[in-house]
Formats: sequence, structure tokens, C-alpha cells
Amino acid sequence: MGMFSVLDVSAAGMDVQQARLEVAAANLANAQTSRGSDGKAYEPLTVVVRSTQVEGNGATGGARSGAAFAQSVGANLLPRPAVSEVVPLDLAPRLVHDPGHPDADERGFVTYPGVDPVALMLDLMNISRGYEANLRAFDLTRSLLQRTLEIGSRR
Amino acid sequence: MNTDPIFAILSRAIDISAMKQSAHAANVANADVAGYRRLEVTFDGALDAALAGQDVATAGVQAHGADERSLAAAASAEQGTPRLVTSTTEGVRLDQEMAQMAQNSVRYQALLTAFEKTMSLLRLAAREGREG
Repeated sequence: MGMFSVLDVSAAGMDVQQARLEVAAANLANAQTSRGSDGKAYEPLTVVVRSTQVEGNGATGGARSGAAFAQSVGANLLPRPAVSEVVPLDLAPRLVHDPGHPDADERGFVTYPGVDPVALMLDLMNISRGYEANLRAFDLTRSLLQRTLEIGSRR
Repeated sequence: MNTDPIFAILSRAIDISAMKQSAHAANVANADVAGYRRLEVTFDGALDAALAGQDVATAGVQAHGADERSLAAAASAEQGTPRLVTSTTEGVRLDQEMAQMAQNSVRYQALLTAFEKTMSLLRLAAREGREG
């Protein structure tokens, strides 16, 4: 039954947003971190999301007909997103002049991660919007499936 | 009244609507993926089928009543194979996707209702008009 795997796709979408949320929260929480347990400055991270969509499908006009669709959905071929890696963001660190700080360098500068709190808040808004959209899609698919199961059960 | 074409049209339309729902769900899930091309449902050859259906209808004027004729035409109009294609442009607009999904779900439910009503009509006939 093809429609059930659509729920998986929406769940994968929610998973991805969850991972983005965790990373954004970590970046925000560590905005004032001068040094990690390894002695190095905290590096802001970002999530790389990739899809299982087959490259070149659109360019060749690769189309799937109704029967092939049932097959492809059954075989979980609907493109679904997944976190492919979490990589450090290449941001210039923020240097604050604070000679009394234990982590200050010889010139008296303390290195903080160069995260932009405003940009992070925007990220968070986007993430929650994406999560809600996936949840809504999940809910809709579920209620449509539910109604389909009720065919013939009413008078 | 022959109800077979009605069921054929309805189940076909329901299939297409289900296909659209999965396309929208996949688009929403992949909205943040760089380089993602959105999925769309198209009907290759739907027009050809519709025109062919008209021809059949014209030819069948003598043989069938008007209702049978238009139903046959509508049935063949729905014969165009729905296809899941990937768009040539990248990017998903979340709000539009959500709006289309809401629209499609109402359509899906309307189709299901029509399906159920047709069935209850048949049921009524099978019971010779007695309720219950």
C-alpha cells in the first residue's frame, strides 16, 4: 500500500528539522564559549541535508507513470531528506579585548565563536516552520488514509 | 444506469489525488535540501485521450443515451496516464506547497464522499429501496 510510505517521508522531514534545531541550539548556547574541553575555541556547526532524489531525473524528463508510481512508492523511491553530515561553519571568530580573562591570548584578546544570534534566531524560525509543515503534511496524509479505510463502513 | 464508468472515474481521480498528496509531502520534506527539484503530477496524453473520447462519443450517438455517452467520454478523458515528474527548476515554496496540499486533500475527501454516495445508492437499490 503506497500511501503509507508517504508518512515515512514526512517523518524523515521532521527528523531533519530536529537535527537542525539541535545544532542551532548548540551554536546559540555556545555563543559565549571561549574554549572547549579540548582547549580549542568552539566551532559553530551546520547540518548538511541531502535528498535521495536521483540526479538528472528532471533534465531527462524522467517520468514515472501511474503503475510505476505505485511501484516506486512501494519501493520507497519518493525522495526523502536525510542529514548527510554535520560540518563546522567557516566563520571568522569574534575577538573581544579582555586582558583579565584566563583564555585571553598574549595581546589580551579572547576568541569567541563568530555566531550571529540574529541569524540563528531566523534559522530557528525557519526550522520550526519546516517542522510544522511536515507535521501538517503527516496529519493530512494520515487523515486521508483514515477516511479511505472508512469506505463502505458507513450507511 | 450503468455505474461502472462512475466507479472507474472516481477511483482513477482518487488515485491521482493520492499521487498528488505524496508529491506534496515529499516536496515539503525536502524543502530545505539544496538543489532539490520538486515533484509534480502531470498527465501526458490526457488531451489526446480526451479528444479520442469525444470521437467515440460522437460515433456512439445512435447507440447510447446522452448520459452514457458523456460518461464514456469522461472515462476516456481520465485515461491519460498520470505521471510523477521532477520539475526542471530547483527550490520549493513551502507556503504554496501547503496551500496546494490543503486544496488537494479537500478534493480527495470530496471524491471519497462521491464514491461512498454512489455505493450507498447501489446498496439502496440492492435492498429494493428499503432503509436499514
